[in-house]
Amino acid sequence: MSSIRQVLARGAADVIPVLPGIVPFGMIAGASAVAAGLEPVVAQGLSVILFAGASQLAAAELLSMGAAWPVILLTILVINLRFVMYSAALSPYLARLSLPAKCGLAYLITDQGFAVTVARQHRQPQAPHVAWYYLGASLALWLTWQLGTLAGILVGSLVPASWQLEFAAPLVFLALLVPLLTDRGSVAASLVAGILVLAGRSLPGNLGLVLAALGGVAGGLVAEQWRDRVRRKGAPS
Amino acid sequence: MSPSTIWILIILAGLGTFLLRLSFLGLVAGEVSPLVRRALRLVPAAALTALVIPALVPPAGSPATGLADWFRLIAAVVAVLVARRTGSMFLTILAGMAVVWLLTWAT
Repeated sequence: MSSIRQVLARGAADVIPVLPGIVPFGMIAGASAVAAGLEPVVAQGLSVILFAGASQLAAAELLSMGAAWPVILLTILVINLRFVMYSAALSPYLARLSLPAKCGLAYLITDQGFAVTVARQHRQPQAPHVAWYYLGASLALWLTWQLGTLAGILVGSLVPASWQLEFAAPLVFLALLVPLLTDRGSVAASLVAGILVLAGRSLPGNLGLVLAALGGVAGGLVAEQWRDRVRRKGAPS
Repeated sequence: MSPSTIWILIILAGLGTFLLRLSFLGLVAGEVSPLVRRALRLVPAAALTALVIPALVPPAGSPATGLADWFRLIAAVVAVLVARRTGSMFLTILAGMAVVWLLTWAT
């Protein structure tokens, strides 16, 4: 039987392979927040309070574009809607914990921490101390992320404008997007969102962004529905 | 935006994000309905595309629609190819930045 400490360390060790991607991502999130005009303390506060990289980067992008604050808030929440899915998938493993413990572990939910934990329980359904494993993975990610954003905040302002560092943010979004486009629904969601965001460019306060994201989800659902109907008829998919 | 507005925005966004994370761990019992699960699965692809496209395509009817306006779209295409091939965040960023630097330097 492995001890709690060993499980905690195993969780941390299992996220090491993704850390080289987290560091530049965090640095760009930190540098973008400062470039958007946030004080260093506020930029690090954003990172600690949100602890959700894609939404932090989106917030910095929208702030620098002068978007309206309700649109920024809405965009952040839409990007983080996926955490509901992770929350539901983790709940059977963490059901017996106290509410304060659940609150702490909920704050730490990330794509990567969720992924390694579910992968471990899938490999070994009887593996013990799930919460500790998840905590070890999440703490390693949290620390790396905070240090990454801190480094970006400190270094970002020293980078000359000619390096066009602001272009790194869309590149991060692309790096996150490409692995998702593996099925018809996701590709349709992406295409529809892309067309809608261009069509809605003139909407005030960058509202078009949120509408395009929601329209993309609807488009993806329709594409999946259509595929399922074709499959039920027995036609080749 | 004033500093206090930004703090309020950050705290509201943090609270909202926390409640999304806590949802099925501590707020609501039961399971996610199949339709909601399908919709949630599609959110990242749609949201990331909506974020990335305006940064790549120059606004229609802008006065300067020179070649340089398309550098970022060209760099993005290279970055997508690198992302598909390597799956590496670092190499994707590096490739995209390198193409933009090279095009800027060459013109």
